[in-house]
Amino acid sequence: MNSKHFARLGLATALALVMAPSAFAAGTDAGTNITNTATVNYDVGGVSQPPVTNPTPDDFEVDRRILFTVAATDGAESVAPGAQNQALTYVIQNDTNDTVDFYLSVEELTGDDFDGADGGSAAQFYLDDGDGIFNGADTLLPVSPLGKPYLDNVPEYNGVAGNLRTVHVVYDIDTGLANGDTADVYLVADATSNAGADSAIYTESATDGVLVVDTVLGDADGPATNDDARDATHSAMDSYLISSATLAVSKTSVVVTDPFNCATAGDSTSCTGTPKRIPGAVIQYCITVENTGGATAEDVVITDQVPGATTYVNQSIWTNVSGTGTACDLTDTLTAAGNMQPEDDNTVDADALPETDPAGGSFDAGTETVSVQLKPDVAGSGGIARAAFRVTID
Amino acid sequence: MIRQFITAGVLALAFIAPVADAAGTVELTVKSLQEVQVTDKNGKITKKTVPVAKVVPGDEVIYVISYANKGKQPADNVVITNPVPAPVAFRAGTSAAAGATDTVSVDGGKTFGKLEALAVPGADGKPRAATGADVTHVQWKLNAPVKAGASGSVSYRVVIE
Repeated sequence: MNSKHFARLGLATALALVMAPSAFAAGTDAGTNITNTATVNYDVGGVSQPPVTNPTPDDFEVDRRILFTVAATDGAESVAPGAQNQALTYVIQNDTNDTVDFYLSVEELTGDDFDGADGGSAAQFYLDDGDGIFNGADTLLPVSPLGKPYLDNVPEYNGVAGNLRTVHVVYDIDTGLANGDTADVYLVADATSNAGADSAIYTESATDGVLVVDTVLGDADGPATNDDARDATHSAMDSYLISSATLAVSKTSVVVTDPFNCATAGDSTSCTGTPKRIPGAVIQYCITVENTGGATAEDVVITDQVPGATTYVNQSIWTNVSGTGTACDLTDTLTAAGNMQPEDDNTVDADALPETDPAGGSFDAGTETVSVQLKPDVAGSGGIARAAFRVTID
Repeated sequence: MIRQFITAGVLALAFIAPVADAAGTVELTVKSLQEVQVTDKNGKITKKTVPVAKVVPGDEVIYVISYANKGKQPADNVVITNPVPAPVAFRAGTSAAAGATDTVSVDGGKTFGKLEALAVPGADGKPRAATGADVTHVQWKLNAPVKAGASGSVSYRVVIE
């Protein structure tokens, strides 16, 4: 009896000490004993009597209210077909008035274009190191004896960012997917007491105990199939969005000069009449690449064999040529600047490495092939890049 | 040493008890209650007050403090004081009682007054009006003596923080 009384006093003191921080708390901790003792002072016959307190303090224990959310942190993750270790990112916020473990699992939606598991590997669950970005500093989550990945000892959020748990769900992306394909993935979290020992998911206590920590479920309905309100489960959806480049190439030609209408071969400003496609005429080919995909196409290299009955004009390869649609402006009227400049530093054979020109344009005299890397990279959603080279009609 | 202290404590209790008996005794009980919604067989929803059992942060608890004069003489100048337990917040305006003047303290029981007239130091160091959450004690002064054998109760409500 005495020891119980002392224990209560000790608890009351401890509560007084933690009072100040609890002003910011999401809630009083589960299991906190709330004890109430009142005092009455009175007189009898004009004489003050000793104060009296209620002999049995009224007390009860605060119960555990399961309340937490899973949220996707951003919009769909753009990924390329075949990309490995691509992360979907979710944040788990524990607003339970207790420290809780969470089992984590995924549910892949039907009706979307592909699944994360199509890439051949099951989902991997990583705990973020604090930067919110999936990288080598993140740690693979532990797995319970029954094989369930889990978050251990997630504290009450209480407005402290460090109490949030950011989780990355990582898949390898299948190959052969088209630009715009999506895969929707739910991260499902189930609250439990001791995931490391495969404890059961919390359920609402059937009975109410005054001096017992009961469990009350307060979580909201979530999007996953088996995620209702008040079931100790919550979920959120994040998506992969396939972003690939879709390139269309076109080639056009114009006559720059001919020997009869123009004074200087290759100088379009020297013409007095309209040049024609006759022997000795200089023809400019324009190669246009348009990217209608979602992702930027990088390091696009064009190769083109010079047509028969024509001869390549030395040092006539240009990249980043301005123009309209599939037509290039005449390169002899352009001013070389930045990466818009004539390429081909080797008129005889494939360029020796390392390249001395910025885009690696070259003409291979053996195969009569023009090779040029488009500069700059071709942006998605309608980005266009043009290259040009010239030949003389034999 | 410990044994001696315990002995002293027991002696002190033994000394007080006969005095109270001789003069007349007021007894106190404190009960925590909860309002729950009950749906009867006709689907009618009524509120019912039951002993507190399932309580989580944000829930309201009603504290009922009952007094009874078990002595043979009336008790005068009866003042009931109740420190508000730590992790709960007093709900303003819930301590009014017929036949009693209710006041609260926001300074640990040093001074009492009506909540709307009290102030506490604000975050900026300047005084601000006190709120229910600042209340540390609730006190009732009964306007009339409690006759021998008579009883009554006062109550207030709190919210679990």
